[in-house]
Amino acid sequence: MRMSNAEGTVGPGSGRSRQDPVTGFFLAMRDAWLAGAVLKEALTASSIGGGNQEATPPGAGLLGPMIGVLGAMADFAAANRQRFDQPRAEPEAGSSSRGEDDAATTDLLLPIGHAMMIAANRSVSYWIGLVQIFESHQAKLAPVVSVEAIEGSAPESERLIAADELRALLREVGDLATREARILQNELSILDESLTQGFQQPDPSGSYNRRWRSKV
Amino acid sequence: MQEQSAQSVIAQLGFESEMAQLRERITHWVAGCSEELREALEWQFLTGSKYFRPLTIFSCYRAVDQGPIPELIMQSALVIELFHNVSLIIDDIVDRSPARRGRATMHTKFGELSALMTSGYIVAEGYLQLKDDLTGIALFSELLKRLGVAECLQWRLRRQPLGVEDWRKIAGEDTGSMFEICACLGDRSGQLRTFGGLLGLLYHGCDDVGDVKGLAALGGGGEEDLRDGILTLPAALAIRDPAAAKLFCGSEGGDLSELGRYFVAKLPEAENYLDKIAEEGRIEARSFAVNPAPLIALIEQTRLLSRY
Repeated sequence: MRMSNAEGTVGPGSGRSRQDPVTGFFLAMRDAWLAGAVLKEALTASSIGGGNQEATPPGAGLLGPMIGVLGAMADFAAANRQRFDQPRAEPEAGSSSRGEDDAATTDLLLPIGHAMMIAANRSVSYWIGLVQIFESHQAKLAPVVSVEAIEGSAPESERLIAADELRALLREVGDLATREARILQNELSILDESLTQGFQQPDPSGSYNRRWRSKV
Repeated sequence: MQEQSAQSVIAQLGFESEMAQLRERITHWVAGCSEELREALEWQFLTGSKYFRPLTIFSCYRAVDQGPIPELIMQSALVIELFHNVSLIIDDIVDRSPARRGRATMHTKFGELSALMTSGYIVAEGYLQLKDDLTGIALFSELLKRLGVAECLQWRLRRQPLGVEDWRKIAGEDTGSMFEICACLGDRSGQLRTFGGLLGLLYHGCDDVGDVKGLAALGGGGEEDLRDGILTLPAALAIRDPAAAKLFCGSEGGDLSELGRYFVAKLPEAENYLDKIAEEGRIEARSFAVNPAPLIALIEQTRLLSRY
């Protein structure tokens, strides 16, 4: 997996000590994802209970691309910072000033970072929820994978119970995904709303105040 | 005790004046109905309803808006009470129930023809009351369609060795759809729809458990369900035992008292399952309501229904 390196030395925790808050923010987010991957590995290993500890857990595989994206965002922020730090020629007449550029970039980067953080939180919450669901069904689902059940020699009543348990598990996984997606949608809508309001241009005509003159 | 508890939650949520207003509106509406049906309507409407569905609408509104209950919401509360009574009248006919809440059912008192015609009259009146509330009209149409489908589904699936997941599906379409619509009428955004569905599922399950406990807790006994082989929550758990399943799936006239004992043995498991549904409801409320307190109060009130 490629780990983006914003300033040449990236390791967990490195982002928090940076001077540039935007770069630091993305690096911190990436660190959070790395921590999530470790947590997921630990949880998966404990729920497997003696399974192949060296196999890559599915969570880590899915978290990987997100970690890469966050690293790339950090690279992007760092590159922007370098650009602003370098001495530049005076802006041409009519073009925006450096301060305005800087503010505009930060205005966009922070919400993107916020959105990524929201998505990261939801994903971690989803994974933790999944682990809890599997944990709660583990004992009841044991008969499903028993030799008798697989061979079809288990009594009909046991097979019906196992099918019911399996259906409950599937429903709970689906319900969890739907709930997390709805929460994600809500949180992004709030961010969207604040972004829209932040970019709204003030009405040049001022407050609505109808100008009228008596014709008399 | 049920009545007292309903009153206390109304007071707790501060909806006493809204409930008084709703009662007044129903009385006024009945007084303005056709003279031919008025006696039957008075019999149905002017006796101790718990108004739990209107309370759900008010609570869902309060969960997203702190302001006073607006006219549109009050109107929805009136119509949900009308439609709920239609479902009771039809259920009583289908179940051949002679009594509800200790009184003769409408078809027992006035005859099946009157009961059927009155229920049609109430539906038409309900839509008239909605006036230009297009969202409300769509939601009430959805409700009537789903209730009809649920009743047929429940009847088709009787006396079959099904599971808890099947119970959940049937209950979700039956009582679940009623409370889903209440939630949508209250919050008007669809955010609380799942909460409403869970509240309905909880209500249905508590009703099932209360019936087995031999109480007329929610207005009906459980004899009809037992006799007709309807899949209740205790039944779904009990028929995991092949002996209980054989009795349950057998033809009419089997040993109902023996089957009842299997159901009673499963009550602790059913109560645990209801606790799980209640927790799902609380999570929904906390995740999607601006103010989850009224919704959590509804959950707690409903959960008590099987515990008396």
